[in-house]
Amino acid sequence: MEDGRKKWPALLRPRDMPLALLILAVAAAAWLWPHGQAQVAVIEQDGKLLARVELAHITQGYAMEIPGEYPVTLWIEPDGVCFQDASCPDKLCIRTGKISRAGEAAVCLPARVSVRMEGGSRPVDGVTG
Amino acid sequence: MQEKKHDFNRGPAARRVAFLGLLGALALALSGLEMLLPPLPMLPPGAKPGLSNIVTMYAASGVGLGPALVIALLKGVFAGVTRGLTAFLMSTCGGLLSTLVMALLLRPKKRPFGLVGVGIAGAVTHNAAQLCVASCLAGGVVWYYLPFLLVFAVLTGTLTGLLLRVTLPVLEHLRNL
Repeated sequence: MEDGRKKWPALLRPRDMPLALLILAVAAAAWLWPHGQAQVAVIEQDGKLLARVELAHITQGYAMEIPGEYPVTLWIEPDGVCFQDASCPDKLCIRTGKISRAGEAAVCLPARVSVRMEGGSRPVDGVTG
Repeated sequence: MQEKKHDFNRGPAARRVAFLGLLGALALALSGLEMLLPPLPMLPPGAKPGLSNIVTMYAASGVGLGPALVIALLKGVFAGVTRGLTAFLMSTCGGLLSTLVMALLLRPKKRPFGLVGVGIAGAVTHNAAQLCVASCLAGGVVWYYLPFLLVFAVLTGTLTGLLLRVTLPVLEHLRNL
C-alpha cells in the first residue's frame, strides 16, 4: 500500500466538486428546457412513423397492438400513453409508466418501438435539450 | 520481491492471469448482483448503480488499459448472454468508452481528478455512450432521459470512487501477492 498511495490519486481532489457541479448544471439545463402540454403522441417503429394520435380527439382509452419480433401493446388515453404489454425480455418499456408531458418519451429498445409526446407547434429537435 | 511490487505486467504470467481472472469474475459477480436489485424508484428504467465499474476503474490503472478493456468487453458479453443483444451493445459501448476515459484520467502524473471525480467522469461517459447507442436504435427520443442519467451518474460515480477507495488496499494486496 506504500506504493499504492503514490499510484492512485486521493479520494477527493480540488477539481472533483466543480466537475460534479458542472454535470448537475448541464442536467438542470436539459431538464428545464421548455416543455408544453402534450397534444400529439407520435408512435414509431424502426424509426418509421406508425401513427400520430391527437390526444384531444380521443375521449376514452384504447389499446394499440404493434406486431414485430417483440409484439407490444400500447394503452392510449386522453392524458397520456403507456406500454401496457410487451414481449421483450426486460420489460423496461412497461416500467417507464405513463408519459404525458410534451418532450417525454417511452421506448422499447428490443422491439424498436418508441412513443414520444409532442406539444403541437414545438419542433421535434427540441427534445434533445 | 520489490521488483514484483512495482511492475505487475512484467511479473510471472501465471500470477497475472490469475489476478485478471479474479477481476473478471468480480466484475461479473457485481453485474449479476445488480440484476437482483429491485427497480429503483424515481430513476429512468434500466438505470443501475454500475457496481462493476469499480472493477473496470481499478483495472484501468491497476493492470493496464488492455486488460481493463477486455474486462469491459467481458461485462458486455455477460449482459448479452443474460439480457439480449440490445443489452450487449449498450453495455459494451458504455463499458469500453468509460474504461478508456478513466484510464486517461488515472495516468501517472496527469491526474486532474480524485477517485470520486474519475468515478463521476466514468459514469457520465458510460451513460452518455449508452444514450448514443439507444438513440441509434430507437431514435432521438431517448435524449429525454439525459438529465436523469446525468444526475444519476454523479451519484453512482461518487459511490464508485468511495467504494474503490475502500476496496483499494485489498485489491492492491492481491495484485502484489
